Formats: sequence, C-alpha cells, structure tokens
Amino acid sequence: MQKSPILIIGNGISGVTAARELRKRTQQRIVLLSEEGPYMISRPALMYVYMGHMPAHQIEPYERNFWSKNRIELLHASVQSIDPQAKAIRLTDGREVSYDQLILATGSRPKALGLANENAPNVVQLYHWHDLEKIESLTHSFGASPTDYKVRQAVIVGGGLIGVELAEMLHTRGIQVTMIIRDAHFWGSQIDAQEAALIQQQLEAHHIHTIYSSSVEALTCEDGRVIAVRTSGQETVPCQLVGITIGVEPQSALAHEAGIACEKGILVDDRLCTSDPHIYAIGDCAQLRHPGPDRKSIEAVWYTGKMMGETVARSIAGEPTSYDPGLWFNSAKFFQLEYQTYGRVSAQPSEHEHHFFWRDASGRQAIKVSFQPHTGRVLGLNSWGVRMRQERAQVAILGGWTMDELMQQLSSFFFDSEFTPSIHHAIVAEYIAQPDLISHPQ
Amino acid sequence: MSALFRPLAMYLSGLILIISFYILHRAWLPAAALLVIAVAFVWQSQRDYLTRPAGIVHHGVFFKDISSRGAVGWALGFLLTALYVCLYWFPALLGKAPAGGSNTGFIHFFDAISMQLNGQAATEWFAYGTCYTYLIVLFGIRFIMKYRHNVYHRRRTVVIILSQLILAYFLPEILESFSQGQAYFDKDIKNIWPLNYDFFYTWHLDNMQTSSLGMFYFVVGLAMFLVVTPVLTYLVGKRWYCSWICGCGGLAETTGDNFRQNGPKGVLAWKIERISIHVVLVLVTVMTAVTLYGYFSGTDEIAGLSIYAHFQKPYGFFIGALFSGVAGVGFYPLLGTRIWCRFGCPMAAYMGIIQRFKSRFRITTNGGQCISCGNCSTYCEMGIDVRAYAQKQQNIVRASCVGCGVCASVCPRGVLKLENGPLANRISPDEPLIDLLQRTK
Repeated sequence: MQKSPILIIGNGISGVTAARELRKRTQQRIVLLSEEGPYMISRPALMYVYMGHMPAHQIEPYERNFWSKNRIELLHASVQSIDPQAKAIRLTDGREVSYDQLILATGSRPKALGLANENAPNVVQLYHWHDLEKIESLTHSFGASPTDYKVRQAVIVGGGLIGVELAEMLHTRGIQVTMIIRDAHFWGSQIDAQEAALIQQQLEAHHIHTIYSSSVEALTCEDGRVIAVRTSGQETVPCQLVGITIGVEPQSALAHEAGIACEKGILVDDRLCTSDPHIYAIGDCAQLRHPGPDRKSIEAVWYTGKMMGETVARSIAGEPTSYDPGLWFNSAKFFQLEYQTYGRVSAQPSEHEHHFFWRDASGRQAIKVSFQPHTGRVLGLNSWGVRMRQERAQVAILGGWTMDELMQQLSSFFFDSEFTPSIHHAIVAEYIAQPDLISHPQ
Repeated sequence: MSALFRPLAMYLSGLILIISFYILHRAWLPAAALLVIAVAFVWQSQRDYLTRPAGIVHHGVFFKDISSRGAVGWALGFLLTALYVCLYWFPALLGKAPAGGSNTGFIHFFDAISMQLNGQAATEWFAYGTCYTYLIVLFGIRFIMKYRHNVYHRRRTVVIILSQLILAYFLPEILESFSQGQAYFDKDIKNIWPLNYDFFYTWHLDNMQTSSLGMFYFVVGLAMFLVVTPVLTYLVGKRWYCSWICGCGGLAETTGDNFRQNGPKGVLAWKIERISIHVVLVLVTVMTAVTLYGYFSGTDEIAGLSIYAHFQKPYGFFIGALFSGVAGVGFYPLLGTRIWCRFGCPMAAYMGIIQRFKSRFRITTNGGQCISCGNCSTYCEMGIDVRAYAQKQQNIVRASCVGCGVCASVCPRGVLKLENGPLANRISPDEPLIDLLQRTK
C-alpha cells in the first residue's frame, strides 16, 4: 500500500514554500489543500488587481503547470475536522484524506470590532480573494464620473498597513476616504510622530481624511446597510462602505477542536511541531513557544511564513531544523512612500534605546537609527522614502557596529536606483551636528 | 470639463491647421500644426501626471480598453499595421509622388519641412522618420513627467530623446543637405550592424568610399560593432543601447509605454524567443557573409544562387520589413512594445550573449523583502518573469533584459536594483531564505 501523503492545509506563502522545499528533498506524495482557490495567489497583490495595475491571473506567483510539473497535488476543498489519532482529516463534503505528516498553514483572519451591524453587506475586510470580490462589487464602475458611484464616502477603521492599502484602493475609484485611528498619530504602536508626519503628508496629498485618538462606538444602519460611523469622539461620519482593518489573528479553530495545544495561535516548538508529533504549524497561524530575542511569538508577515515553510520542510524530510528567523526586518508602502525596517526600532526612545533621526528638507525621506545610549551600538534602522540594502543592514546590526562605524560606511547602504542623489553626506552632517548623541560612560 | 477643454481646444486648432494646409498650401502650416499639437499633448500630459503626487501611477491600466488589448487596442493595432504595409509596399497610397510628379496627401504634408532640412521634397521615409521622432520626443516628455521621481528614468529618457532627435534625425538630414549629389549612405551613427543589415551591401560599401565623411562612417560603423558594443555591454549590460540610444527601443520606451504590459509572458514565450532571436542572428550573419563574398570576388551569385534574390531580398522582406517594421510596431497594442527586440533583433541577440555570459550588469534582489506581488513581471516589457527570480532571492541575469529599470520602480518593497559589479557571484545559487540570511550574519 502506498504511504499516505504529506498534507498541507493552506496554499499561502507558508504552505507553498513548505511544499516546494519538500519536493526538493522527498519523493513522497504532497497534497496542498486550500479553501480559497486551487492556485496560490499573492495576498499583498490583491490591491493591485483592484487598482487595475495587474490582471487577476498575474498575482499567481507560479505558472499553473508548475504544480503538476513538481508533482504537488492541489486540492480545492474545505476541512471539517482533523482526527490526529487516525491521522486523517475530514472534508466538508464528507471525504476523508489520511496523512503521514500534516502541516497546518491556515493563516490568519481579520479581527472584528465586536459591534452590532458588523455583518452588514457594506462592511468589508481586506484579506481573501472573496473580500476583493466583495469590495469590487460594492464599488464597481471604474472610469465613470464620481457622481455615478454607489459608494462616494468610505470609512476605514484602523490605521495599519492594510488600512492604508484599502484607503489607496478606494481612492483610485474617486471615493472620499476617512480613516479612524486609535492612536494620536499614524501607526502609533510602531513609529514616532516625526515618522508619522511623512505618512500624514502622503495621506493629505491623496485627500484621505484622518480622525486620530478615536475608536468606533457604533455602526449606524438603515435598511440593513451601514450609513454612518459614530466615533468615540461623538463624531458621525456618513459613509456607504466601511472597511475594518484593525489587524489579524491566527486561524487556529481546526487545531483547537482537534485537541492540539493552542493559545492565541497553534503552539509550536522550535521545530515548528505542535503538541501532536505528526502535526506541524507554520506561518500566521503558528505561535512560537520560545520566540528568539527581539522576535514576537506570532509574526504575520510574508517572509516569516516563507522561512517557516523552509524550516518545516527540512524537519519533515529528516533533517531536524530549528526555526531561526534571525534579525527582524519588514517593509511596506504608504501610497508613494516606501518604508523599510531592520532590527529593533521601538516607536519611542527609552533608557536603553536612543534614536537618531534625519529628514530631508522636502519631508519625503527620513532615516531613524536606534542605538544603545552608552556604547553607541546600532540596534536597528527605519528608512522612509529611501531603499536600504538588507545585507548591509544585517551586517551592521548583527555585527555590533557603533554609530560612528555606521556613519563611516553609510554610502554603501543605499539601494535606490542608479544616479539617485546621495543623501549620506546630509545624514552624516546631521550626525556630526549632534555631538552629545552618545553619552559615553565617565 | 473646462480643464479638459483647453488641451482639446488646442488639438482641434492643430487639426484645423492641418486642414488649412490642404486648402491653402502655405508652407508654414505643417510645422505650426505639429507645434500646436505638441503643446496640447504636453499640456495634457502635465495634467495627467504633474497634478498628482510623484510616484507610480498605473491606475486602471488593465481596465482601459486601449492598454489591455481591448477593442481600441485592436483597432490601433490594425491601423498601425496598415500604415506600415502602405509605407513599405504601397507608398503611393500615402501620397508618394509618381515619377516626375509631386507628393500629395500624407507625404506632401512633410514637403516643406524636408525642404528646410535637406533641400528636397519629402520621401515616404522622411515623413515616417519625422513622425517617429515627433512621437519619441512627445511621449518621452510624457514619460519623464510620469517617472519624475526617478533620476534613472529621467536621464535615460533625455538621452533617448536626444539620440533620436540629433543622431538619428537632424544630423543625418543636415549632412545630407551638405552632400547633395553625392552617393547616399546611412548617416545614423548608432544604427549598427547587424541591426543595420545593409551596412555591408555592395552599394553601401561603394558609396561610403566616395567621400571622407563616408570613410569616417565606415570606420566608426566597424568600431561600433567590433569594439564599442562588446566593451560597453561588458561594462553596463545591453541597456547602454537598448533602453538608452536605440531608435527601436526609443519608440518602445516612450510611445510604447502604455503597452509595455502586453508582452506575452511565461515559459513558452521565453522558449520561442530564445530560438527565434538567434535564428535571425544566424540569418543576418549568413546573408552578410554571402554579401561580402560577392563583394570581394566581384560576383553576384554563390553556388548558383543569386545573392540579391536568394539572400538579401528575402532577409529585407521578411526580417527587415515584415518582422521589425510591420509586426514590430504594428502589434504594439497586442503583443507589447518589444516584439522585435525580444524575438528578432540580431543586435539584441549579439549583446544578449555578452550580457548573459560576460557582463558586469545584473538586477540585484534585496534580501528577503520580496512579497511575490508580480508588479515587476507585469511591467517587464521583455516578458521576463522577474518575480520568479526575486521570490527566490536570486539576481536577475538574463540575455534579454534591456535595463529599462521599470521593474525596480514599480516594486512596492524596494527589492530590485539595476547594478554593475564584479562578475563573481553575479548569478545567485538557488538558496532558501533561511540560508541566505544566515550567510549574511
């Protein structure tokens, strides 16, 4: 009898990476199951389909013949339950699929506000393909004059990365967007007011309204649709569409019901194995029992999913490997403003972490470097409107460079296109102008 | 509405000037019409781009009929194709003068301009060259507005415009006016063999030898092919030519920008392209070798085959006219702007071999920042699946890359950078992200 396959639930970046890396190492059958659609899509690219930058099929990162060529069996189905004892899963259509090893890559789901009327047909999130279809159907009619839109005003609740993507999307259809943001400035949990000012400049240039230090108290409904949002500041914002983008949480229900240990997410050890030795969890749905220094137990970002997929494939293929994501990094784009971050850069400075900030005169470019106050050792850096070379940032931060060393080597850090005017002299000049930045011990 | 009205009114004025020319026959009217239309176009472009914050503006590219192979795209494709067919084989339909007569219609429109520049009535090729240059200048200005936030694109496009305007248009026309009555030879210095396939034709070699200017062009032409091209391609990749000075590339980069996303993608197109472009390189080499054999041995036959009828004529018809001209530009809206450059250009094939195996040029991928969105692959005019490399953390080293830099510009995560650097480690291994990041610790 043929051995049961390695079964992967979820065809996002984590599940697909696991499948690809497994195929490089084993001849065993690999089944990749997804509820959303048979072919992987790049979730961050959904916005480009909506804005007409890309055709829908182009957000599939692999050509469709890739899967059969690599003998990765695609299964478009949804899972009812997992039976760890029988090493099998039951599908909602009644079928059973047994597995040799099971990888849960079920991803996350958008958090809900917990308010009445949140299920109204004109309340949307931005996560799945069907979310995009819903937004499209509510706001269809690209190219018509603005007065023809069914949706003329939209409210977005939450000022994070997805919120700003949704704002950019709706803006391209001529919709007036208001963002309701909990913090006193944009992305308050991650950045300081000086950095937020760069994002604010983008929002204003694109005519996005912002209401800060506010949350949503109620969604006012009429005929089953939300017609206005009432804020904690008792402002009422009329709208024909509401976007809820207050973050995501791990999708762990299946595992939880199967008796696998879960907290916020599916708990995994260093090898990404769950409490069941034949079941692994990777990507957004996984919660690390022992995250590394300066890393969180749940990190819903693209590349950690990829690295977890690579790690789990090794372990399953007989090369037990501990998950080690190394230095934290990430990137995003706020309308036309690109952002990159490497290492530890807290929103606000502290006793153990001081900040150096440089901004160009136009306010379109900025650099923030965090360092240890006494040693001057570089801890991390944020770049705004400036592209940084990841390899250089890694070397500097992991190599324990001091601020002086960083400034000496700065010209090799930039990754912007050729001929871009050099900003490193301006940054170094700003650094020299602050001689008391590093308080050397007596 | 009133904002749209002003460029529209100017376009209409331009149209009225054109009609007036055919009624009144004043010599200054064509230039005036072209000028008014140019002003309207620049005006409209600044409203399209300068009124928005600087950055990537591709909103609705795949919703608009013209840029997503819709009905308007197809209609434009047919129109362009028909124009090229007329130009090559039925110039009389464009108003070319019958023997002893004078031009009418489309070509007549360019008579006065031609008279100013080279002292002769317009030919169909002068009319074509003027339109071609006009389009590169206007759409080049538009492209600069669209990418005004990026110095690479600004510089590249200024060079494209100047190369076309000066090297390909004014300089040859003015030199022509100084050498009237002398034997004709090609005076576009950047039109290099094997793209310029008649460089070694007997009449061309003979004509170049009749003047010192001709000898200069002969020596430079040889040096461009033998020295300048390999050296520059080694140093910076084929982009120095394809997306900076080439005329075919110039039209693609400027006028064609709206259609760059329509090139066929995928592995199949890549397979076809690798075969077809090298077949053309072999064909032009064989045809030229036979031509030179004929030149040096003073014969017009080889092994009983006529060099003209069996080699030069078919190459000129199928490759020179049908492929590079009619299909190369006619199919812009349907197959993207680099059909000829990807599938046919022997100059691109020659530089591509150098770029792939011995060049400092590559597109670097920045660590693990790629999110597989696919903007790079979508807007690659050469149909390269840039994402396939970027999502595996690999540098992009491909023979076909013309170095336009648009992939790097449309990337929302700062992942791609065109660079020249040492040959060592230029081609990245297939290495998982966890290993790459461990290695750079």
